[in-house]
Amino acid sequence: MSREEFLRIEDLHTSFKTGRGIVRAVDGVSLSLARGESLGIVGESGSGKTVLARSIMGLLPPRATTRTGKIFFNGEELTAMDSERLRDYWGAQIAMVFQDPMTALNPVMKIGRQVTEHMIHHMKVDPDNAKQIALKLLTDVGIPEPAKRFDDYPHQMSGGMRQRIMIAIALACGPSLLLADEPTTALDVTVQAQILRLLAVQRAERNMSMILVTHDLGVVASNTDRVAVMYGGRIMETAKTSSLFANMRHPYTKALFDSIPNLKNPSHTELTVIPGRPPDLVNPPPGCKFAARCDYATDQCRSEEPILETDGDSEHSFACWHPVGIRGKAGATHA
Amino acid sequence: MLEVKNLVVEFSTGNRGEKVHAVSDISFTVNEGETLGVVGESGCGKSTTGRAIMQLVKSTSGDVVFDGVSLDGLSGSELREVRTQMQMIFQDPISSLNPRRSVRDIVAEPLLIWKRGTAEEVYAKVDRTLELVGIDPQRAAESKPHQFSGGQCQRISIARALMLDPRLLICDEPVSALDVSVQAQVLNLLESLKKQFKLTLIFIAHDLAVVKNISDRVAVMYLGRICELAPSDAIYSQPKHPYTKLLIDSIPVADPTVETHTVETLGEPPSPIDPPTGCRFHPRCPNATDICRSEQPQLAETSLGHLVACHHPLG
Repeated sequence: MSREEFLRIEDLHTSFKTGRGIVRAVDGVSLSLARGESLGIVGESGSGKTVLARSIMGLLPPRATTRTGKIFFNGEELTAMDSERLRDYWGAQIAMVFQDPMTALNPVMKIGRQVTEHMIHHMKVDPDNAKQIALKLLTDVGIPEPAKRFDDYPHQMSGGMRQRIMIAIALACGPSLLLADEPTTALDVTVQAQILRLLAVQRAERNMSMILVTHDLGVVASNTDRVAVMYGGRIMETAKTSSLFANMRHPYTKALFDSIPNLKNPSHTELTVIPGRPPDLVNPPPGCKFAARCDYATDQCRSEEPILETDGDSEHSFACWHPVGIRGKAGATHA
Repeated sequence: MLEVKNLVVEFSTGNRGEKVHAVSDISFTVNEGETLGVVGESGCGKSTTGRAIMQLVKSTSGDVVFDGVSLDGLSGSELREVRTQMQMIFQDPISSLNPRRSVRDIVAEPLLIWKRGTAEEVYAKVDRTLELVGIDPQRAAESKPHQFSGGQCQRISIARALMLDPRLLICDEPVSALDVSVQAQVLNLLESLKKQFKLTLIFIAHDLAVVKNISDRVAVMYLGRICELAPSDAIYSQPKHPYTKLLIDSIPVADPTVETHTVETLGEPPSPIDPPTGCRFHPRCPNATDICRSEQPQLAETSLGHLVACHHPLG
C-alpha cells in the first residue's frame, strides 16, 4: 500500500437488525485517507456518518450488526481482526473522541486515572511516569492547574473541560488516527472555537490523521483538508475542502449549504429549504436516495442509482446524474 | 406590549446561602408585532428569562408588565387568563408533547380546557391549524407524537401554541434540536405565521445566525445580564460589546477561504453561583481595565436604538 493511503475503506456496508427490518446505515462507502490528513464527514441525522466512524473503529454491537467490505489501516486489514487483536489498536493507534463529554467519561473514576489508564496498559509505562506524561498532556489541552485537577472527578468540571480531558485521553498513546465524532456539538460556540483550534494544533504537532464527523459545514470548512458529504448511508460528494466549497456539484450539498442562515444576510431573509425528509433506510427508494427531495430529479434519478464519479478534477467526485453547474442540464439553474 | 423591569431570578442551590444568579437585573421592552431575539451561551439566563416572563419560574424581584398589567400580583386564575395571550414553544419537541394522546387531541386541548366553541368548532379549528403548519389532520387523528419526526413535532407544538389566538409567542430554542434543512422549514414557518396572525415573538436561541435572521432586535446575554441590545443587522455589522464580537468571531463560517479569526483563548464562562464583580465578562475580556473589575457597566444607548453595557465599547 502506498504512503498516500494510510486508511482505506472499500465498499463498506453496515446494517442493523431492528423490529422494523434491516436498516442500511452505511450503504457502500469507499474512501481513503493519507497520513496527517484531515477528512470531514458531513451529514444530517441518520446519514450514517457516526455509524461509519464506529465501523472503522469496530465499535458496533456484534449481534445486531452486519458489516461487509474491507478496512485497511496502515497496511493491516482491520476488518479481518477479532476484538482481541483490535484491542491493540484501540486507544493506541486509533483513538476516538465522542460527542457527549458528559457521559463518555467514567463518573466514578478520577480524571488522572482515566488519562493514564491506557498508557499503562498499552505502552507499559510505569504509573509515576504515566502521571508525568499525563500532566504534560493536560497542560497541552489547556487544563489550568493540571496537578490540582488530576484527582478531580468528571462532574467537577465543565463540558468544555471534560471534552479537553477526552482529547487528552485520546492523544495519550500517540495515535496516528483520531476519529472525532461531533466533538464540539455539545459545547458553546466560544468553547467550540477553542477545542477546534486545540485539535488542529495537536494534529499538526503529531502528524496525526483525523476524521472529523459533524453536521456543521462551518466546522468542516476551516478544519479539514478533504470533505465527504453523506446522505442516506452513501457518500454523495467528496473533494478537497477548498474545491468543494468553491464548486458544489451535488444538489444535496448545495441545498444543505443554502439552508444555513448566513450572518451576512439582512434579517428576515427567507431561508432555502430542502422539502420533505430523509429517506427511510429500511425501505430505501430505488435510484438516487436524494431524488425525492431534489428539485432537479428526473425519471432516471428515481430508478437508477448514480455512482460516485469524477468530472475533470480527479479529486472531486459526486454521485449525481444532473450535477450542479453543467450547462444545458437540469442542475444548471441553481449553480 | 411587554415590559420587563429590573428582573432578577435567583435559585437556591441547596447549600445554605448559596444562590445561582440566573438573571440579574435585566430590563427590556417588546413592541407589538416585533421579534425580539435573545441570544447567549449555556447558563446566560436566556431560558430563565423566557420562563420568568411566562411566570413559570418565580422572579426574586422585578416585574413583568404585559399590556399594562403587572403579572406579579395576579392570582392563579387571573394569570391563567393572561397566559392564553402568551404561549410558549420549547426546545425538545418530542418530550413536550404527551406521548399517550393522539396529536389531534393534544392540539385541541387548549380549546377544550377553555371551552371555546362546540366540539365540532374546536376540531374544525384544529384541522385548519394543523394544515397551516403542514401536518395532515387525518394522520394527526390517528397518530401519537412518536410517530412523527422532530421537525413535525415542532410544527405540532406550534399549532398547539396558536390554538388560543395568542398575541405573544415565546420560542425557547425551537430549532436547536433539528437538522439544518428541517430548521430552515420551521424558521420560515414561524416567519409566515407571525405575519398571518400578527404575532409578537420572543425568540431565544444560542445560534446567533438563526436569531439574527428571524429578529428585528437582538439582546445578547452573558451570565444573567444583557450586554448589548440592538437592531439585528447592527449587532452583526457593528458589535459594540467585546462579548458580542467574541460570539460572532467564534462562529465557524462555511467558507474555507475566510481566514478563521484568531479568537483569544480566554477560558470559559464562570459559574453563575459566584459571578465576577464589576462587568461579568471582565475575566475573559481582552480590553478589561480596573474600572471593569470594580464597577458594573449599565446598559446605555450609544446610538439610536443601540444599547450596550460596557465601559469601553468597541467602534
